[in-house]
Amino acid sequence: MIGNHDRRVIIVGGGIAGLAVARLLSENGLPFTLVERSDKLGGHTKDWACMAVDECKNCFCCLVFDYEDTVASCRNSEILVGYELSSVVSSDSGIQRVKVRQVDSGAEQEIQASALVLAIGFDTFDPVDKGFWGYGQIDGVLTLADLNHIIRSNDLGKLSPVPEGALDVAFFQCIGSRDKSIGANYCSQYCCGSAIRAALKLIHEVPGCNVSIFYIDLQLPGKTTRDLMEEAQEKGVRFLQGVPGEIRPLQEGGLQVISEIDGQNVAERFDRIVLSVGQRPSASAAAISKILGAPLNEFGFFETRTLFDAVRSPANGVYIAGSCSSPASIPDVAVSAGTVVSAIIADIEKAS
Amino acid sequence: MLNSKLQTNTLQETRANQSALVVGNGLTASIVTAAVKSLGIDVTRSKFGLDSALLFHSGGRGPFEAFVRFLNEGAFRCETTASSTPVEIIPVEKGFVVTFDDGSRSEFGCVFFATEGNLKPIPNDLPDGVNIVTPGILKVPSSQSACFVLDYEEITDPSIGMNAMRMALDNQLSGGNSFVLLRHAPVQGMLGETLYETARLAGVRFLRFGNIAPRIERLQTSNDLSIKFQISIQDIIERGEDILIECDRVFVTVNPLPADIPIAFKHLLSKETDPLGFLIQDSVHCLTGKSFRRGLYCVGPSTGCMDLLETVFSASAAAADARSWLGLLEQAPSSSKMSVSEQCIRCLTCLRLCPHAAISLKSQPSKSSVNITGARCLECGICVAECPRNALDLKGFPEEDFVTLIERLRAQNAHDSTVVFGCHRSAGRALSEIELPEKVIFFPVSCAGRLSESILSATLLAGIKGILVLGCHHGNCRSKNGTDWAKARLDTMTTRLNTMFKDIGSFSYKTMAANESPRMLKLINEFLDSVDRIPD
Amino acid sequence: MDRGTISNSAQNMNRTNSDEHSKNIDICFTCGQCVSRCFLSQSYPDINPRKIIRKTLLGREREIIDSEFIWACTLCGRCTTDCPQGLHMDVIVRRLRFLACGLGKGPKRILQGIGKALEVGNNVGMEPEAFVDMVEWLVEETTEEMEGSENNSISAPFDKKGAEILYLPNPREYTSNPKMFQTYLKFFSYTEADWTLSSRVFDITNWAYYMGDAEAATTLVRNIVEETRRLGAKILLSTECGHGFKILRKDAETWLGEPLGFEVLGIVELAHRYLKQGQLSIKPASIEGRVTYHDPCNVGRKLGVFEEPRQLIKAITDDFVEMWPNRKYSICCGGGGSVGQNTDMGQKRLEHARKKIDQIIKTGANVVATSCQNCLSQLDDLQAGNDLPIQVKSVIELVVESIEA
Ligand code: SF4
Ligand code: SF4
Ligand code: SF4
Ligand code: SF4
Ligand code: SF4
Ligand code: SF4
Ligand code: SF4
Repeated sequence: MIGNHDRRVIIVGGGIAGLAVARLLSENGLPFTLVERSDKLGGHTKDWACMAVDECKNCFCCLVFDYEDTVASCRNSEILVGYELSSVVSSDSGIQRVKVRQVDSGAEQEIQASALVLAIGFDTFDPVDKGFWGYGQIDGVLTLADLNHIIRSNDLGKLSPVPEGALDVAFFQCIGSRDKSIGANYCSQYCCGSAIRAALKLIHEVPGCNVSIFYIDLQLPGKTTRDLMEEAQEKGVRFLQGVPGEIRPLQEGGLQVISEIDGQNVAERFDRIVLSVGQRPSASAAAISKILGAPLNEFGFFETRTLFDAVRSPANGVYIAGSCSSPASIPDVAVSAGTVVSAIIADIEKAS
Repeated sequence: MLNSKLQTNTLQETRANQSALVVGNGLTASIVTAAVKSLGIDVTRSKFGLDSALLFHSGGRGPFEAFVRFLNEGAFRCETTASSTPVEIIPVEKGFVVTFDDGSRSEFGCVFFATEGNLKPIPNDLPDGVNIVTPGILKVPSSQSACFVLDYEEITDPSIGMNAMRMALDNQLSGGNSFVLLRHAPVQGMLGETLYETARLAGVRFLRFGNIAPRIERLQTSNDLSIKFQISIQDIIERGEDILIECDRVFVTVNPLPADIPIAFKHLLSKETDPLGFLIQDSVHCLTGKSFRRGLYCVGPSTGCMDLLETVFSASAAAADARSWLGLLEQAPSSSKMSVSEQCIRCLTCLRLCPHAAISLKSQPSKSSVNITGARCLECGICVAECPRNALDLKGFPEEDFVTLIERLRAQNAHDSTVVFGCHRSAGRALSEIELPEKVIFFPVSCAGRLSESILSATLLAGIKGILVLGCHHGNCRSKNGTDWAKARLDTMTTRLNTMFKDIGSFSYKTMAANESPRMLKLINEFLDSVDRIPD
Repeated sequence: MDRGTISNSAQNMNRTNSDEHSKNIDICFTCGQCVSRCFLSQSYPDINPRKIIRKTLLGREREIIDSEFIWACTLCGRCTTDCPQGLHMDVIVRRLRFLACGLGKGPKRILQGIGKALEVGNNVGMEPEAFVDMVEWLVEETTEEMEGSENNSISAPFDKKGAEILYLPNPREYTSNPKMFQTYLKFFSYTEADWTLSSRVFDITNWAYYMGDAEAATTLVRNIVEETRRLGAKILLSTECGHGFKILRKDAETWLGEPLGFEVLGIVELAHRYLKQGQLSIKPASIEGRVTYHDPCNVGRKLGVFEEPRQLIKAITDDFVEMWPNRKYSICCGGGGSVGQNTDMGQKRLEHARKKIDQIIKTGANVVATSCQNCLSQLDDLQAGNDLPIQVKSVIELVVESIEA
């Protein structure tokens, strides 16, 4: 019986990627142990808001609840919240045992392992490092994550400085992405779609809200995202090429930005500016890379074997799911989790 | 790589003696076949649609050569021996029964729809000689100048755009001169930005236009071999006079076109397409190749995806899901979730409405009967609510529970109470984060679609203040349209009851998601306010 | 038109660009961040850094060469601070200026200055004898001024071989603003530094750098470097001069292609070093009023010398306030990068400095300290032109005042 078996697939990280892997593993009858360092499952996704406007806008955030429910009801498997990976023993044939440590007490326990899936996710870029935008210094500058928390707690009224007054909101795209000066020479994949959804949500929820989206290049993969953009344009969202590099607080309140519109440098005033912050490699990636001998790539994400073998780490028996191998949107994560499970099963098939 | 002890114990058990049918002639079908086979599932292939793989895009990733090599050799080079085409596919208890054009008929555990796609036609305002960007044209004739126009009619899908960028770079590196005109530079994937940067540094000139697309004209040349074009474009940043570019070749990108859906699949897939005609692959419940019908998968261009790598990955992900589905088929006893009573008159309403194709008609010598596949049924209760004979009931969420509720309300004389029916996967989950106001009774349902007119009216007639139904947002219902059914029934009833009774409590229908607890509380309070405002 | 070509000018420009950074402006992906960071964006609404790059790339750099913008640009580098593609606008503008000079569009006064510097060794054309006389007179004056104070051993050694420090002044100190030179004389005297002046090389400025003339700029730097080696100084001490200091510290080795063999130090850094070693007899809370500090672009943003001047000021006053934004993000005073010396630009630099003025007023400070001769003279002019209730002082001036207090 599967349940009697004590060798498990170890999943490191209980965000949406880890949960997606766990779910599919258990549906395929493979026992797992999921190790999550923080005190709750669900990662970033769990804190983000629903972007539905009359109908679902496919932001995919609520998917994490479906995954979590299935995983919580898995038999033969184990979920360790508040634990982290501390060491592994592997042989030529792959991972043999892992030790996990309780974060609070430091108590360790050993688990017989058959494979290990890395799903440690990403860290959100902290725009404090880029002083020109005054995040943390100027009132009214927030990140996309902050905005999601406001929407999630149904606190949108908080956004308008004057109740019932007009609310001018600007989104700045690619903050902390596509930026060589911080070693992030990549697109974070999720933020264009997220910003457009959030813009539609704001327009729907806040009367008198005008939204401008400043971008470098919009990434609109797939037909639904393109539709979203068209819808946003119809609803009056302005799309402006060129992201202003500086935010100045105005004496009389509000935020001033200068940008080039129709060839002229124009100063405009906004009430709120939302920085669409990108995905950075997780702060714990380096330590985990050391424990496992799983190399990191030039950006600090986990390296994969080849272009077409993009879920296996060069380290034997280690698989990589979700945004710890490259920045990803939720659908990307779901597909990568499925590919990981497929690879694990295929490797078992091959070995038999 | 994996510990071999593990597999002996886990795999045998779930390996069902069932196989997969892969529909399609091209590379997509080969990719899917390989992915499914690698998980130990037997595959039968059948023909349908185009057999070329030329419409695939590399998404501009990697050296082009690696991509070409991948196309030509490797694991996915599968021989298509199939000669037959499916003409009918019917979901049955243990999978699908497929009839082929040669008259044969077999049963499969799962079916993959993996046909090749096509691109939109070239915009007709373009002069002769302009080409569409497809990977079929791998190289621009040597040392020519070429202009790649993205976002011409509509914003180009980034994977196609990156392909154009790659071609431009290759042409530049082999001695040609490349221009890329676009509105949005595509930088998909982790290395997209690197490709864009490499192209710029190699000397490919990028020009950005605004609402006015570039004007492409063909110059008169006697010699057909060196076609010449002149393009005028307004760079939205430079903003000076239009810039004129002269070049030998022009390539324009166009987006994918929805694939043909075989007649055999029409009734299965008609509800699985978006307004454009693509098979849905980007909604909450249809990611990773899945469709609403379990065991039926859609991968590749038919879903609008023209990207090779993405197709490889979603084929693998779909295969993993298929494997679990086959295991489930093996285990789940039939009719475990649902009871069908003698009242059934075989009107087949339920069969028609079930979003998960869980209901089939079992023909028996004496009399046929409806049969529910336990593995497929997600207990949405749409069939239960719509059965004209009240012949169906869900074992896990029986009608009895509602009767108990209504009796309790009656007994309590609960005229100051309000009932909130909420779908368990949205409102039911959000509930844990909020505290309900007094006199509000929350009753979780498996899906809002379970709420039949009779349940709703009986509840209201128990003498309560009102009913609030909280369904999932349209587009996010796990049973596709359960939430819409609930809304439609409420609408009808409001009209009907209002004409019949004067002083009846009120109804409201709202949608929400699991991560909207604070909003849920707000919706409930708003409803309570509106109910209170109605004069006694 | 050539087949498939817009123009080759961008390539030409890249090829002639010798600076390590910004070798290739093709790398700009038009993100637009630089547009709003330039303090000139509202004064010149139809041009901005990004457009400059765009026009150049598309072969239309003539429009920019003909525009006033490249002469109004102070090379402050603020626009491309944190540029996601690592470009440096000051480098690009210098290249464009060089192209403009080649077309005979260079500012006369600056070009004359460069000529003099190459010929005589300084941009005012002062002969060495005159310089020595001038300094001797200033020593006398200072000694007289200090009559009665206990510390009055003012002297100015010339060409003293083996002195630890070779001090390199800015001509402003011995022409229009001799009080500055006196301040430094006192500083050396109070700190008992082992220093010398050179009678051959006594101009730290490098106007050729402003004009993008790499060859002439290198020659001027070589003169300084060779003189320092000849005198055997361990430290080449820069006066409070932003661009001069920045070139010697950051560019000299690259331009000459060899290690300098001595240390380049700013006088503020030296004062800070003395402070840390307890060799600076300044007194806490010895300056009256509220003090703020203006980060000169060259000293701050480009060299990263942020904390030394602040620590010195804080050691002198209890009432120090920051302007916002500051340090790396400091707004340019508006008079740098040759704008202050370029007579063709008239008084425009005063109009362009609105943002700086607002910033200063907002602090409510009585004293604005800074550490660049160019900034000092621009801030002086801003004060006078707008009747600002502030005093403009150099950091070393404050240090000396504190010692004397
Ligand atoms: S996918 Fe997003 S928008 Fe749709 S219901 Fe879920 S959270 Fe809301
Ligand atoms: S998804 Fe959009 S906002 Fe995010 S990094 Fe990519 S281009 Fe920038
Ligand atoms: S809807 Fe009811 S009566 Fe009709 S076939 Fe189904 S179970 Fe029978
Ligand atoms: S309950 Fe829903 S899924 Fe189950 S058979 Fe009825 S309609 Fe189909
Ligand atoms: S900040 Fe840099 S990359 Fe962005 S537009 Fe300016 S120069 Fe180009
Ligand atoms: S260097 Fe300074 S003045 Fe010149 S363009 Fe940049 S910000 Fe403007
Ligand atoms: S004068 Fe001062 S502030 Fe202005 S550019 Fe020079 S160093 Fe910068």
